[in-house]
Amino acid sequence: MCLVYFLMLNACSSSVEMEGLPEMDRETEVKFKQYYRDGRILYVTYCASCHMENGEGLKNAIPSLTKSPIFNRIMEKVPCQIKYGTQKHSSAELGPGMVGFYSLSPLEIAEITTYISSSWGNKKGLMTVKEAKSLLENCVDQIESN
Amino acid sequence: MKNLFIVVVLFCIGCSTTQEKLPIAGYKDIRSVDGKMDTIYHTIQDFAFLNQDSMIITEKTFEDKVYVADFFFTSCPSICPKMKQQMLRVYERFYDEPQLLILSHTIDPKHDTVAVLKEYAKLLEVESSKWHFVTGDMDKIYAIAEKSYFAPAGEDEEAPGGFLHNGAFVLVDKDRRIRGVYDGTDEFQVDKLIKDIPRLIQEYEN
Repeated sequence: MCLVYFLMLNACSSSVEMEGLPEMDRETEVKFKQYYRDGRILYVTYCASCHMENGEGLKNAIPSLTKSPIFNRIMEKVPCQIKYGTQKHSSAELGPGMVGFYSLSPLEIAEITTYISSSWGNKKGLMTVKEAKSLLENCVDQIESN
Repeated sequence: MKNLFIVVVLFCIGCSTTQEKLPIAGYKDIRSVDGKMDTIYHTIQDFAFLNQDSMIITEKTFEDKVYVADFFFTSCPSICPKMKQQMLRVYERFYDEPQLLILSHTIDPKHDTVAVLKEYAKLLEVESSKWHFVTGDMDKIYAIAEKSYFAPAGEDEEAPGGFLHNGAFVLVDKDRRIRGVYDGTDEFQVDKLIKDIPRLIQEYEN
């Protein structure tokens, strides 16, 4: 019984919180919502096992994606991180930081970035596939500077 | 309105906790001891592993304690982060309860050395006196996982991360008997574990 109520409540909370996001014209808003919705499905498939469905990660072992001031400043770094993983880690003994998801397409990466940048208090809005593609072309520079 | 009232009443009855004792898992053996019939329950066998502080951890570490055991490895990409997130709930909820301890075994002792476990525990911000992360002889760990805790684990090339294991949290009482097995990746089952722990501790206070 408790479970049924819980599921019912959850089913109605799949719409995106638009307040606080950058101003968007009608066409952009439609695209944003589509990216957000698809991005959420991708996030749950690829990212949630580590970063958790609520984006909180695991203490200092897996970084939180929620309302992080650092994250909000560097949305542009996210596509390369998703594709190639991260080298940074607090200790070399624990191995590489995040594993990369090399097989994801630029569109999928743009959708995931849009989703995580607009959830849990983050208010960055849309990243288009064009933007993601252009960022992904320069990943080598980003990886080397890490 | 009347229907809502009935639903709420059923809800309350359905969700109330009972005061029955937790079951005892595993094989039972009924034997004659000094002329009396006695039930011998399945118990966790003796063990000796090394924790994140290089302390030797044995069954004596858990004497007069109730504990939750699980099996994981630090480089696990699939279910372990969720398991650790859930175990942290148990840790935080029972931080001030001295009778509850946590025992996490690595199933990848080659990679998860004492130093690695120490680092991992530090990242999770947990104290070793409460939550032991242990490593040791691989065969012994796999044997105790399968035979004592009924949570088999093993190397598997095709599994994510290279190791196969389930996410079971095993609740063990002061007599080293298994009193509950919960899916550590399931929040609701961990809710139940959190409810069952005080019940188990209460059993010994009566």
